[in-house]
Amino acid sequence: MTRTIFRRFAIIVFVLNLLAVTWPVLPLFRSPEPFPFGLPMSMVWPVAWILISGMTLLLLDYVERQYEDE
Amino acid sequence: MEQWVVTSAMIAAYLVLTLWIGLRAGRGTSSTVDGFVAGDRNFGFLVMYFVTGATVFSAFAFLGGPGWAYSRGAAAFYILSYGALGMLPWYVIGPKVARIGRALGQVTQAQFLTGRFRSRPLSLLIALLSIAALIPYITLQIRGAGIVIEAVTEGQVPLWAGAAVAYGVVLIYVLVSGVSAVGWTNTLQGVFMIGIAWSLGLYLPYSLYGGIGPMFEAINSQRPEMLVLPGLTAAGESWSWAGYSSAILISAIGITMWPQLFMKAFTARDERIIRRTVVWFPTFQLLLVPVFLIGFAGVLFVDSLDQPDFILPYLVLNVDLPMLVVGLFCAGALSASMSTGDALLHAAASVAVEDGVRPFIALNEAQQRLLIRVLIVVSGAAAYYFAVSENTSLVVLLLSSYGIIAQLAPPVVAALFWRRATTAGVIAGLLAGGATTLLFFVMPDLKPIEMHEGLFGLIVHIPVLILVSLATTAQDPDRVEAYVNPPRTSMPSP
Repeated sequence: MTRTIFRRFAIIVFVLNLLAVTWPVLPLFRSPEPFPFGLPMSMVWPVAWILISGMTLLLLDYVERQYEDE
Repeated sequence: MEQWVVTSAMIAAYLVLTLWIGLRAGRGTSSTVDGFVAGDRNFGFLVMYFVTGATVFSAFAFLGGPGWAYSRGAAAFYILSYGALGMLPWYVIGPKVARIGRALGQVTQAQFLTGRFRSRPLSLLIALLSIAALIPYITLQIRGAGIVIEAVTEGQVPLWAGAAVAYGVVLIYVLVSGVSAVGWTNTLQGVFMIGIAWSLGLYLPYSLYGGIGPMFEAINSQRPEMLVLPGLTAAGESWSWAGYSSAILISAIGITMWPQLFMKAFTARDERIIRRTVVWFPTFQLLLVPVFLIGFAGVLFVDSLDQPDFILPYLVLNVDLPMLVVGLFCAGALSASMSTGDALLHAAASVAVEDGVRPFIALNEAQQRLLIRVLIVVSGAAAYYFAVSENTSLVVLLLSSYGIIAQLAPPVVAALFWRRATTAGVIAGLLAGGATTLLFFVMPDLKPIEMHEGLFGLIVHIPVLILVSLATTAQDPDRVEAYVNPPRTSMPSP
């Protein structure tokens, strides 16, 4: 049950990631301002999605491992 | 002592170290085709992680990445977005491919596909497509190595000689140790790349602008168009959203379909290792952050370079860096080039023999290994010839080869998930998709919108695959079941 939920969650994050870094969502984040951590927003946005997807994968993998061990 | 002598000595030391590791790597591997091509299916996590990361990060990322940031600004950020996206499906597909490969004794992509879609012409077609995509890619790596060595030795070691020495070393260790050499040298080269990219990426903005924040503020006030998405084209005009988005899509679809990455599924010790490699891949992807910082550092400092790919060597040589840093940079850039080049050479030769020759001519194990080695030398020589002869359209060829490689994605997905797919459907789809990609590559004016030609290829490919499959007789259910629902064989415990 939990596994199914986490798999769906991972797929949703994956689709959101794809939408967030391509047209038509990306144009909302096209400007360099503000400059979080001194970096332009247009660069921080794709980097943030690497982190979000990476963390989702870690979480998914953790859950999958619990089931594999059984 | 002259600077170039010191730098050359450091390059020599680095090459000797790589050679030593590459030669040692093969000692524990069996002298079979399985050992030479798939490392006896015994790669552990650390090696798999660096093989995947270092293979993806080529000379293109180390020289082309800063080059894009320097000349096209925010356009380069598309490279940030496709890696993690493209690797995610591999979490599901990779282990499944590995399980089927182990059960049916496969070592290449075409063997995997023709295991379900039995056809010798299909095997040959995949071999030809793969090699057509791999050769320009290898050429680019060899040229990258030559450029770096020529630049840092101030022309004392010309491009042809630098490329020959660096790839001589690659040839020796790949010939002797096969894929195990690729694994262990990539581990060393991966560590080098990460360390050097981060140190230069932080050091250059500080030494030139007094920090990363001040650097971007300065760029934003003097060249604001550089930091606005989707960035610029090579000609300096604004890039289109369709161009930017389709570059992400085609690269994400294509990334795991490259033979040198796909075939690594057959080298992993167990499925768990493939999953862990995917989970940790995004950490490698973050390496692009310092790579872009290096490129942006050049924006206000270097007026206009004829070839933007030279921005990194140019900065390194003109910013008065300590000699040690110059030497280290060189090792990092060579690492990036060689860690991809070795995997590509190995993949090209293995594919040519296993998929292009063996289905048609019976060979014993010894003959296969000999032929693979001969073809490693032949493809290396061919790529070297292209690399030293002037050829500017290579980058264009490389980007286009992603369009060709992405055409392998529908057959792979169909083999694993669609029971109704047939051999005729897969062949028809590949031919239609490949032809469409080629058409729009040769005649870009025909494109209805400015999208990557590979995507047009897929738009034609997928319906053709589906329709022709449905129009032909369904496959034997047992063979389909072995792919769609492969039995869980007992795996050696990790």
